[in-house]
Amino acid sequence: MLYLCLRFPQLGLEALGNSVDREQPSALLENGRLRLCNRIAEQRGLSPGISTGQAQALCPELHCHPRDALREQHYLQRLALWAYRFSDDVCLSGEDALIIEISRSRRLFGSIQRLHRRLLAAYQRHNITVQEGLGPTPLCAELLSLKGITVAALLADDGSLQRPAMKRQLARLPCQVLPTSSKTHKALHSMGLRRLGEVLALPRKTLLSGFEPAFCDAIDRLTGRSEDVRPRFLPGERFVGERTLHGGVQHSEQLRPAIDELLQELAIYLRLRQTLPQSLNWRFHYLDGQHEDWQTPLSLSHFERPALLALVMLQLDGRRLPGAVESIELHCHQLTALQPRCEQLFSDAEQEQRNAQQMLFNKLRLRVGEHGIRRLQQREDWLPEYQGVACPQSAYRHSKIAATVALRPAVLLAELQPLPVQEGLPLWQGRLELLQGPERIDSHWWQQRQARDYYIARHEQQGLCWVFKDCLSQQWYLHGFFS
Amino acid sequence: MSQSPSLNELLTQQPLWRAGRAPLNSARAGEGIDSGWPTLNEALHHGGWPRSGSCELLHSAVGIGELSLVLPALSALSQRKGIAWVSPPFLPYAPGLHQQGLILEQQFLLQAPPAQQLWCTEEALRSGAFAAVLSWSRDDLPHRQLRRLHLAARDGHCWHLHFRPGHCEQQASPAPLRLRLTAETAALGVTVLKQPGGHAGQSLSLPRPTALLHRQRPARQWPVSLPPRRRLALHSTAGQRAEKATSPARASV
Repeated sequence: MLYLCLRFPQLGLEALGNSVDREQPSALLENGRLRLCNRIAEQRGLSPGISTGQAQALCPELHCHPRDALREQHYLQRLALWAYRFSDDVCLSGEDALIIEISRSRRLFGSIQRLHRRLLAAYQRHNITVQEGLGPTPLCAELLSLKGITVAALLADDGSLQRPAMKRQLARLPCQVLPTSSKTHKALHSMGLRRLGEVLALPRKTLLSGFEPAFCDAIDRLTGRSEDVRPRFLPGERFVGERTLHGGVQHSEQLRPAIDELLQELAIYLRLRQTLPQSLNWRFHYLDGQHEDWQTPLSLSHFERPALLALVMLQLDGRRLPGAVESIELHCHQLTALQPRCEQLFSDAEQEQRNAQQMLFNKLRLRVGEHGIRRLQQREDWLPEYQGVACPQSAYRHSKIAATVALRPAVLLAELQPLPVQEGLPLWQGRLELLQGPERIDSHWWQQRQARDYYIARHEQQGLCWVFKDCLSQQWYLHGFFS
Repeated sequence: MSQSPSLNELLTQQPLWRAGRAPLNSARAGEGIDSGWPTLNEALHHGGWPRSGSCELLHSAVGIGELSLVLPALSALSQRKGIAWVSPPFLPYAPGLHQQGLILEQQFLLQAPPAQQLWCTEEALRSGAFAAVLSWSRDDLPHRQLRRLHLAARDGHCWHLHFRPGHCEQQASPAPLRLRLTAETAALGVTVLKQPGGHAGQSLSLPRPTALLHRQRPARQWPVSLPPRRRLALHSTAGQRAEKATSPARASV
């Protein structure tokens, strides 16, 4: 087993996103004292623990930000989600570190070195400050990451751990890094033990007799004598992503990169959970403190980010932003299990067509609404207008009904058109010549009786139409065309 | 006479037909979709409807058989791929289309407000989700819009059936195939105004189904209204056949 610990020393400030200017001295405040300083603030002589007053005296241009513990927690989970791409054994360590077991992913990435490079690049691409630690046990990696080591130097060419070098690094660490009580730390100090190497050199009998059990347990977990089982990180039940836009963005096109990043993050989450979202729920926070919620309804058989980005941008084009957007949140809570698909060696035209249809319908739904897409359906009914209907896609149910024997037109009028009568014959753009009929339809006596005599008639321009005479009111109506 | 290289390139690469040459039909026959009308297949140089791109059907009257012309081809296409009807002026009637052999499951009706109709048509054409898209336009569309639709249909490998008013015939159009539809007493008149691969100008007369045009005798001439002796006489003679043909029960079928 080989554990890599990634520690994010600037996590508190990085979690605040673009609201923290990296080029300015910035610090995180908690209980009136500095909790965290960025590199520039440290260069100005500031350090964690000093009061705000002192800090302002030392560096008047210091930007102070209150700590947001919940945000930090979400941020760390997001970082863990990225790490999930490299290994399924990821666990959170404290408030600012991750421990990843990497040896089992060696074959997947070719070599440990390559895996390590790619993992690190994923964080560095987003300007995330990382300190690393590597070891055969989780605690070893965790402790080494406190100091921050060069992992590449500890790896042999074949990807195995160079234990002597690792032990030398570990031995240099101060005893205070050990996760034990302050009483034990004092005891170690009073015994003149300053470095971890000195503690590890003690005979085991001395450790067991002279120190508390928790300390011995920590040493055993560090050296691998006892197992260090930690709860694995599992992606949450719902997806929440957020991006902050520095200074606010007014035009929808400028939101594209942030939306793309959120969708990319969502894609990873969905792949891990093997689910698909039913909708994308967006919340835009504006600079004036207002926020706006809107939704992108979806019906997907698979997640395709570029197409989805185009869809969201299409929806955004139709919206008018009331102000500059400060941050974007994406929530997905209604997730459906991904149906296993059998991938074919050769392209599956039917599947491709279905995907293209789904993507088109998603687009149309956004522009023209749910009722803009209908499907033709035949139903069992006596009245012609109910025999053939166009129902919304969501309400469509496949039904097999035998074709009627009597001739039926190709198109029907949406509403019956009353026709004037001259010399007993109906008129529509001139005289109508009745060719054949009547076909009597007498129904709905249980509601309001409908008795109709249908005829095929020819109008003066030689077209054929479908007309009927209401036997009760003696009124003629135009109902369709034999186009 | 020297020709510029670009013109040579155009002549060799682009599917250009020069009037001095024979039509392309001999080389490319069978490329098109079988229209279900043998005479129409003969008149079209590609042996049928184009598989992609715009095809304009210009007519002024309704009910003359404008849909019947394309229904056999649509019926064949709908066996494996969807057909989209974009904002038709009348509701496509499911029982009627089912009678003509169309697969109802594959019929999609896309209804968009007038301002969105062109966008909707273009998206449907480009998506590659449909074998054919039927659209209707009432007004004279600008040339640019027509070209966009044609290119979208070509990119999406989709047959675009564009029903336009008859007066649009005077307007130039980028659609490679344009047909004028006129009504005849018992047939649909089709004139090829323009087609790819050869000469246009063919005129056809495609008969309408006899079942539709079958004309009954007025009710007062029905045999049931005749005196009993006369009816007997009819039954005993050759008039029996005529009586069967004009009986109201059969006529309504």
